[in-house]
Amino acid sequence: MKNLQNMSDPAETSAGELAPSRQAAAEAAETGQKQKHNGFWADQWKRVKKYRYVLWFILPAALFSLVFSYVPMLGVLFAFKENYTSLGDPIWNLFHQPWTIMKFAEIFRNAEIGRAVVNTLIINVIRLGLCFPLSIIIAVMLSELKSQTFAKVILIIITIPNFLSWAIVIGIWSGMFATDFGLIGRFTGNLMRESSWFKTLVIFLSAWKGAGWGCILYYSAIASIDKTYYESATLEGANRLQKMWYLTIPSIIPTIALTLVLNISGMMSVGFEQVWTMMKASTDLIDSQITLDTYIYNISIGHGADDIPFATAVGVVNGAIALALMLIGNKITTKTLKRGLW
Amino acid sequence: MTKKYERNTTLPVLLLLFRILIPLLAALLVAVAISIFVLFGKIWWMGVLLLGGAALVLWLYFPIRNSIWVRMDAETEDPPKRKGLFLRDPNHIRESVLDTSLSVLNIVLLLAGVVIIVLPLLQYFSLAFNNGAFNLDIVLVPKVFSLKSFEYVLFGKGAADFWRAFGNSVLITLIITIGSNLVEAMAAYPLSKSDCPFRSGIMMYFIITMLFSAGIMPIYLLMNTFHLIDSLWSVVLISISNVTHLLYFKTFFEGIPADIEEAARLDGASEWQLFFRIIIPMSLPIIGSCCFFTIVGTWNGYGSALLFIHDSPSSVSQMPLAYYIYYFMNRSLAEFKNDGWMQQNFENVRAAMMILSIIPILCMYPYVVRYIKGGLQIGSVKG
Repeated sequence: MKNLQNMSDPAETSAGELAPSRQAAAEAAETGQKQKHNGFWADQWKRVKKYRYVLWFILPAALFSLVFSYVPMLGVLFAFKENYTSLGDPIWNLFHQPWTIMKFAEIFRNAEIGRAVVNTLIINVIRLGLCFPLSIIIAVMLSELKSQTFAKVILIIITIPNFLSWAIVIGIWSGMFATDFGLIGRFTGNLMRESSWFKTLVIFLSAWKGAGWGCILYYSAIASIDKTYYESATLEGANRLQKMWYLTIPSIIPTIALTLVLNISGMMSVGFEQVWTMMKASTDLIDSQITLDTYIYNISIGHGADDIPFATAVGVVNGAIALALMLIGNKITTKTLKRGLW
Repeated sequence: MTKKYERNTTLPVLLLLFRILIPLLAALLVAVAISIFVLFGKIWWMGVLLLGGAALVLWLYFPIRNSIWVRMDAETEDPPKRKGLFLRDPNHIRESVLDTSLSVLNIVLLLAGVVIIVLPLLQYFSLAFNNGAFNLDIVLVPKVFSLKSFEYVLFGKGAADFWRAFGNSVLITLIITIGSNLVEAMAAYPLSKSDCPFRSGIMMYFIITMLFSAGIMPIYLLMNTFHLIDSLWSVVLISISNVTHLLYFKTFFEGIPADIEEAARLDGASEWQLFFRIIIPMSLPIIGSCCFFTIVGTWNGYGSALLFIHDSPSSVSQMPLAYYIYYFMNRSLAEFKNDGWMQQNFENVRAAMMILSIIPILCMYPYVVRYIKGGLQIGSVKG
């Protein structure tokens, strides 16, 4: 038996090898080209000639990417300089000042960065545990409503905050927390100015703004589930909770997994606009509640911006961690869901 | 077998009993029980009366309901729909108590969520329409209706700055929306062909920009080299490149049948005409949703403005509206020392300014709800 199985394997692989070349031949016959093996470059050149008018369309986008993404990537070199001033000719500065790698070592010795990373991770882990399931729960609750018109009205209302800018959202809530006329603040005092409440409010405000918008994705995924499944589940005697748990949730698992991976790859950033505006709204928070975004902003552009190589090094390490998280996430989705993030 | 139509004389009587007399009886019993409690203060009497009354009503309810069902089924071949609170279909699968209580809980929780969303918005609206002297008395409705704050924002002392910021926002939203989506759609068109030369290489070139960035410091230095710090154009230039939309466009263009393009070529269309006259009109749904997302993102976003434009009075003329609101929010009252009215109405003016800045997006919202749905579908398509 073993021999037979071994015999059958090569036959299968050879058939598998044949299939693509046959397909290619068929394609070549369709397009009226002769099937010649001119090599990779000749083949590409032929295609370039075929698309010679259309290929120019790529040029503007490629130029914008080059100037505003690739040229800044060259700025990574600044991280290896001992000292660098933006005054004078940048190229001259780059090659006439001593190189060093100590700026990267400095990152690990800096206590403030440690605090920023811890704050960022605390906020993001809690947000992943609370806000991420919240959207799913709201979507399931909406789909359980008998009247779907009512569900859509609720959906439209809860997506409104997503269309407000962070400045407006924080303005609105500092109105709520105002000690004299705020609906909450007149009982509790202004929590937005209290350091101990900062993380809670960051999480709460991002839920207030984003939960409704996040649940649209799951809501449309649930709406596309075949209704006959629910009917047969009812006939089998499943109650509502069982239908939710064994039918609705498993059907939207792919959507959940994809969003989860995207969330995890954004783990190193809290959302710069939100945190910066909240910090500005309460002047005494800057030190203890610093996050990675605000720290990098401070040392790059803000008041403490005097060490350009160090700021670049921190930005590069942050970007590298984000890239690693993204690649790991993509690997996980391609393994489990058979499709990548891009 | 068709049943004969028989007029059932007892049915109207039963229905009368069922719909009017039993509820009346129940209401009477409850009223008597409550009045006994109020008049004599005997809570036990009331409890006994209520329980006994409930038992009496149920004792009457079930037999009458069943005989109504029997008679209704007998009356016609196609029984009338039995809607209504007390006349459920006997064949209807009943919900269990658990299910019913769950749906009640569901509605209550959702309404609570809506209240959490709406309450702060409502308070802010009433703040904008209120007179500053009466801010303390606001409970969701303005105490004194006044349009003074709006008047101040639109025509008052700082109105020139507001209008300038508004114009800036309109300008950059137009430029970025048209520019970004046009540039990315044009790039996506050749890349959507399966035999485009160096296809995977070019895609990799774009995707890398999405994955890795060297942080804000090099970008700031680049803009500094171009002398674009404190200039609106830095915000425009940094926002043109948008690889996510490129992926959306590419996926959509791949779905357009090649026959259509061949037919257009046979009719003598140039590639330019083919793209602008055939491909773009065919992909309006995706272009619409991408444009909508760009508009909302540009109108509301001020992250790049925070990087490139200082929040100092000297660069106010270069601020987009969202950033101007951020700037105005953080101004201290000390700046308005000589302005008594402003001292009192500072919060109201801020609220009015924010409400004015929402209006363009709110006006757009009803027209683009369908595009939002389309945009969410593309979100789940592999790029």
